[in-house]
Amino acid sequence: MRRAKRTISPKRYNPKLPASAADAKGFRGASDMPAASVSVPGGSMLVCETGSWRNVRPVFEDKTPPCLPRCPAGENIEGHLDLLARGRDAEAARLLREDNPFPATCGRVCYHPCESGCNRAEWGGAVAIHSVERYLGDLALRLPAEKPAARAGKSGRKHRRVAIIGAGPAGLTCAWHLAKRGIEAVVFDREPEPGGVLRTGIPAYRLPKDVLAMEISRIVEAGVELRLGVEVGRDIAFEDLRSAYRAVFLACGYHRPRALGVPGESLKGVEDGLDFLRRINYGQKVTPGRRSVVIGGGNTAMDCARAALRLGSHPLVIYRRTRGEMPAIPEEVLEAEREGVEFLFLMQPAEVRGKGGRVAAVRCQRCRLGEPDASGRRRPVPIKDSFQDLAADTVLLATGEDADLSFLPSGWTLGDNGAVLDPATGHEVEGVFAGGDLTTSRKMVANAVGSGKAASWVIEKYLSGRSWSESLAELEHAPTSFSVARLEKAGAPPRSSEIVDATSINFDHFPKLSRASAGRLSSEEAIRSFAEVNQGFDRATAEAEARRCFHCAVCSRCDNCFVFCPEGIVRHKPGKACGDYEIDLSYCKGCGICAAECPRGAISMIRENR
Amino acid sequence: MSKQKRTAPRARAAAPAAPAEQAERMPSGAVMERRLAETEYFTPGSVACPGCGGALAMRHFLRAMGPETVVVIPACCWAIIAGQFPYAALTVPTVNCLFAAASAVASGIGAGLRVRGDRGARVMVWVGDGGTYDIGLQSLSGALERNEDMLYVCYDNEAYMNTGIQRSSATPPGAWTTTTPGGKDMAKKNIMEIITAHRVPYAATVSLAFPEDLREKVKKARDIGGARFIHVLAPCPPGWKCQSSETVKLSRLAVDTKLDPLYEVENGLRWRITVEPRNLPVEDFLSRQGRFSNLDANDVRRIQAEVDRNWAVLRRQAEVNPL
Amino acid sequence: MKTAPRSRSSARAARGEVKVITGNYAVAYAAKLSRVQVVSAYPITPQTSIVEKLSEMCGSGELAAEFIKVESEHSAMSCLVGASLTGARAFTATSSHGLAYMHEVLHWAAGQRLPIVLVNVNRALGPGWNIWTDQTDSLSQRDTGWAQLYCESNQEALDTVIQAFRIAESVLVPVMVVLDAFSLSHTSEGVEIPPQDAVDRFLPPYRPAVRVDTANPRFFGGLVMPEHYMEHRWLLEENSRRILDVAAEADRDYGRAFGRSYGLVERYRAAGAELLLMATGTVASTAKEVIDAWRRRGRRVGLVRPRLFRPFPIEEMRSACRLARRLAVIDRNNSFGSGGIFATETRAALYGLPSGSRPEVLSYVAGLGGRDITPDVIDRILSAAWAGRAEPRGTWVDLKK
Repeated sequence: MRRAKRTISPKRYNPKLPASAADAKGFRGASDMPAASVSVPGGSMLVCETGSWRNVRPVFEDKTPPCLPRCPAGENIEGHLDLLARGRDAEAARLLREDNPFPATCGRVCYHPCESGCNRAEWGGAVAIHSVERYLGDLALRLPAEKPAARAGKSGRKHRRVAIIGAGPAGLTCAWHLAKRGIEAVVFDREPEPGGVLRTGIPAYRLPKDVLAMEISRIVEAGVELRLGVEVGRDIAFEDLRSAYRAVFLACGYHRPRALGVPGESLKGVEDGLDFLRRINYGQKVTPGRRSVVIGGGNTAMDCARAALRLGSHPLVIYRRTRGEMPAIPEEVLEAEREGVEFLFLMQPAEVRGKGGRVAAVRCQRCRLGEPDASGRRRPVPIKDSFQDLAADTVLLATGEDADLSFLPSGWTLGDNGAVLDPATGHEVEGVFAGGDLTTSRKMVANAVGSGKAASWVIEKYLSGRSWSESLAELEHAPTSFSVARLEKAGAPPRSSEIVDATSINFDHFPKLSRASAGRLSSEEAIRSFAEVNQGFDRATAEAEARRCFHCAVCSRCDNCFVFCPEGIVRHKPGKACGDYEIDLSYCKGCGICAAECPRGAISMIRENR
Repeated sequence: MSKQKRTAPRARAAAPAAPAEQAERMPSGAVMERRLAETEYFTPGSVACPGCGGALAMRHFLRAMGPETVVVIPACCWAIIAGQFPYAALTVPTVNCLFAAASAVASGIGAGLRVRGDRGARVMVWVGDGGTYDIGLQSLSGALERNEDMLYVCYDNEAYMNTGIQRSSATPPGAWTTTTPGGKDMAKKNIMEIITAHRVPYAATVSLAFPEDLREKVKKARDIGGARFIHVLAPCPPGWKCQSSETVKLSRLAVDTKLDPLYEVENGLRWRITVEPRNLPVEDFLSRQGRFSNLDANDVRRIQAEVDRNWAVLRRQAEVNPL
Repeated sequence: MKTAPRSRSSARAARGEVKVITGNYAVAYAAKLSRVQVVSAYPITPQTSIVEKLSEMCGSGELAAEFIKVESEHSAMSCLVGASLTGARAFTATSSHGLAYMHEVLHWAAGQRLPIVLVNVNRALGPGWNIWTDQTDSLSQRDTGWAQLYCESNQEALDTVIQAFRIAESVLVPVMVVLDAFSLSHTSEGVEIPPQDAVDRFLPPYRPAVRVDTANPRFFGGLVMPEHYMEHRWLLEENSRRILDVAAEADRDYGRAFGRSYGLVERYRAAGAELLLMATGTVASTAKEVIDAWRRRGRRVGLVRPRLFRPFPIEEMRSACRLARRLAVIDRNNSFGSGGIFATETRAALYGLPSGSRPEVLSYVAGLGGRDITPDVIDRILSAAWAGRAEPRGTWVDLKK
């Protein structure tokens, strides 16, 4: 053989193979390449940054659930439902009370507009937020009170002192929030007991007195000072308050009865409804006649009628519009009806007729509905010559109240936002803020709680050194809700004020489950006493109901984005608990599955600027 | 040493949870914790199309299979997704092979591992519908008959997608492909009946929209000896002409319209439906995909009738021969 | 049959028991002695008795291998691709259409650099069905990247299979060992079965640098772009060329160990021959008888027998043939429209020699589909060649025109 002799031992030849991912690039040629297509894993494919394919990108963006802006008290509803659903009841109750010091009360008497926007409505019925609130509120009563924050030293006392006129829900809420922030709040009320209309107006079968008392004692324990039986304008001058306190919150409510303006109004047996309830609530002996006619369609009218029923009377409610226009909470109307209260709609009183100085009948005139008025409801138009006499032993007037602000300097007017205008200067009066029924469009407890919180927010800013107009402007920056958490994070990402509706919900991920309802006393039993009618949720029901919450728009760490990402690039942030996700945008191809499979619309796909 | 068949299950997996009720479709906290504990074996950077059902399927299968897995891939989309020399998208041993050869290559790998004394590794064969229903059916049948120790997975995107959307025998009736421009006029081959006719120890269908069911079945299949088969419908946004974001939604609709019922079969004889479909009309599934845009109401009715018929057969199997 | 291994009387050579067995059994014994670990095969005449014997050995425990009884040759080779990737020593045998059916997998095995050994028993391709010997089946696989070794005797078949594993595993190129249908496969002769320990010394266990292993994961066979494809092909080419040395060395080592070696190109009475015959397989044995007869008549004729077809031993062929005036190539195969395949290869191989010092290559196609190539046929070929009579694209001999 002419070929040069070369001996090749069997084991001498080994095909070269890349030893590491670092070798998987930049071969000079065959001499340093593996013998065949053999690749080394361990992330070598990461060289291909597929993020460049993308023209839309997913972004985690907590938005606003529909219940949130609907809650007048600004509760973080989704938040406390989430904690409750996870079995962290006490934390849920604390979170709830952070926004509302009256959860047990609101859980009983609130008109719960939150539920009307619930995206669950078509999937078994809206979440029973109201009943869950009551469960958590009752739980909160058993939790220790929040500790008052340390106060400033004596020298700075005036600068940290706030006077609050009215110990109703608005005033106490404001005082509570201020106290928690170390601001001394002194609440003045002419009544001997605190609570305002909660104490005097709402009957015990709806709001047991001990519940209210416990709730208020929690507020006092947080460091609120009460001065009861003190009427501003009578016992102490408003100007004196202004000079002694850095700020004044007007929360004295609507308590001056509105006159009916018909003949016979002053006959014996004609009574102001709120006064009727007040006497009952203070434990006085009240005996309405056999037949009570309640005039009005609001919650006070329902309370009067049902209280009268419990005192042995046969109440008849007359209302000048129809059932649909009644301002009372629909459940209250239903309850009243179920218990045996009679109703006459499209009727307005024209005259109270008496016999021997005492009421004998109410002459009513029929109405029809005309054009809508300023409130949006159709105006009742009396029909000529359609009078009818309704026999009555007692007439209870529940046609509304007015504010009594005679203690204020003349000419001062209240703005919608709570600011008080002095026409003499043309400016807002520095340090004076109004809330509660004085400013809210709906005269409801939750609205009062919300306005009290807003007041505390403005006043705290003012006390911390901002000008009054800057402090008032704070409210405008507040997002769609007055939840403390959201107020504190106002404007900060990732929360957006976009409200998520049902079209953003992926119903595939939610079982269709029916709404739970609370047990209640039978009507026969209920009308025998002032015992609480609504029995509330037990723990299991409350938790199950909380689990029905979609947590619209708020990432609840369900992991769907992580699970369904075909690339496996939705990750949990290192060192963070489950739920803090990040998306590796170097590789995200923008398929959109994470956003589509997010059950609750907390991921948005946004167009890339390339 | 002659090949001693390990027909008996290696270790019986705990039976999967009872048929998922609607309420149980949402993962529990415990399940989430488990999910987090698992490692990924499919690294980013692959060239899978956005929203690829096959990619998502691989991710979940490997998470359930674990690191002691050898993946065998014949010609199919995944032959490309798995990476281009010198890169690799999977972190477990991966073998690309010829189109018709997957089951045989897997058989050889199984035998090789055994003679080399490596008894821990499990072979997972990962094949598209073309390689399963069509060109690879012969070698698959051979391997099933020999009861080879392998988990064979068919990720079914219902056409030859890698070559640009040509019909396969898995293409459903009515579907447009480049080779069925007027819509396919034949039925889809019933692969599960073919597989179960081999009386393999385990066969199941899984869906990308039901990851817990998928996981339970893969883990169960993983720990059984012999030939196991799992079918997973893999929506293909370019081929189905659907939104890339709807891969999971379409998977779910396929289950809920009974087009892709989820069940498992032991030894080819005992059947169990694992997810009760919501019984939606097939139109809900068909109408979201451009490939079915040429269907008229009659076509949809025919498809619905066929689906109902197939469902009745399956339902009867599960009733007469329950697992 | 006339076999002429270049026996070296080495004192160290291991001797074994001689058994009278068929070529197919000799192959089976060789596979067993090579300690194959995975066998996968599909029946086809005339190969079947190889895998029957191996099956029996596996069944009795005599051979510790996994035998995968597949449903096709395509799957048989595919099984071996999988097995070889795990680092197992893999073996199969087939014939004719079975080999043709394996075709794409043969490419895959070579491209993935898997040292599989395949024994092909030459058999004609249909239609119509013909089970007798013809080399067109194996020669059709010329460009798959497999090495091909052609055997003349049962002993050589046994020896070549053992050598084939050593060659394959040295360069990571699969090797095909080829033998004639019936005249070897089913014909018994005395075969010395070497002792196992000596074979183990000659052929150490296969220990590839990388394999399918969950502890050290690799991705085999991923998409290769034009950027790298050619370099991979070059590496296969480079290592195929090295087979010339590796095979020669294996043969020499084998000779030292067992007393038999064959060379890459066997020369029989070739020295000083004016006319050389070239034949492979059992035709060479018959031809040797005819050569002897012509030599007795004083004609200077000889024989060259290349054992290796891929890679083609160009240097060795040049060296063996350069002094002859004519080279008559007998092909039991045909490339239609082109002629006998060995003749074509040989012409190309010798073309590089200076025009004055290279023989004229004459091509004769004979014995297709198992037709006997008798001494008379070879005698007629020699006569024609002696006279320089041959058609440019090959003369079909013993053809009833």
